[in-house]
Amino acid sequence: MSDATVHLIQKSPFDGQALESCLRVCAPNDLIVLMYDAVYAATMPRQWPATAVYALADDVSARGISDKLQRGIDTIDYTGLVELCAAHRHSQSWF
Amino acid sequence: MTSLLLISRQSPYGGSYAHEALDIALSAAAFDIAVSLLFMDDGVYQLLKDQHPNHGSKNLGAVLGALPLYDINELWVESDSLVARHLQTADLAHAAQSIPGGEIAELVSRFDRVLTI
Repeated sequence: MSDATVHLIQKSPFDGQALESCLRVCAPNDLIVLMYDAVYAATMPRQWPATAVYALADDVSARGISDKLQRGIDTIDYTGLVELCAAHRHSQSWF
Repeated sequence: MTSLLLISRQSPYGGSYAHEALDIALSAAAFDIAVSLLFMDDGVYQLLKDQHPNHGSKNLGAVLGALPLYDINELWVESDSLVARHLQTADLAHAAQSIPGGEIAELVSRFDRVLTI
């Protein structure tokens, strides 16, 4: 089990501070999962202070942004999300 | 005929606001109100192509496609909101006229009523 944290970001990057607040406390070996309206952040170029960034596949597909994901961001399905959370001691939700 | 500008500012699947805005547009049109829609902020995401919502959610893009059936033909999109989201009009599934934020006050003044959601 990893001591790194999985950060679950859930709000649009244009709606409130969820994304920015998470990035402020995110450690370099943490992971980020973008879900719900946060998947829109996967279409914007930016530096991510995390070891990996994922976007939830169902939410990407629902919003019609599959072909707009920035390089370096992989999609993950719900099974993968559960496995990711189970493999890490902590997960933190940002909304 | 009364005219209504409905300004839709919320993302398509983040809550029920986007859907309810469209319901209002369709209802108003059914009561012989001349409805135009303006999309701004996260509302511009409603216009994207290739939306495949999960079971249970209605495809908002498909509902937008039905607007001409209700004689709602005038769609506007705020260009500044597109630029901020790295989107272009080519990314949109529906023909919307682009308008900069600075011209929205003038657009609003052309309508009898305005409703922002």
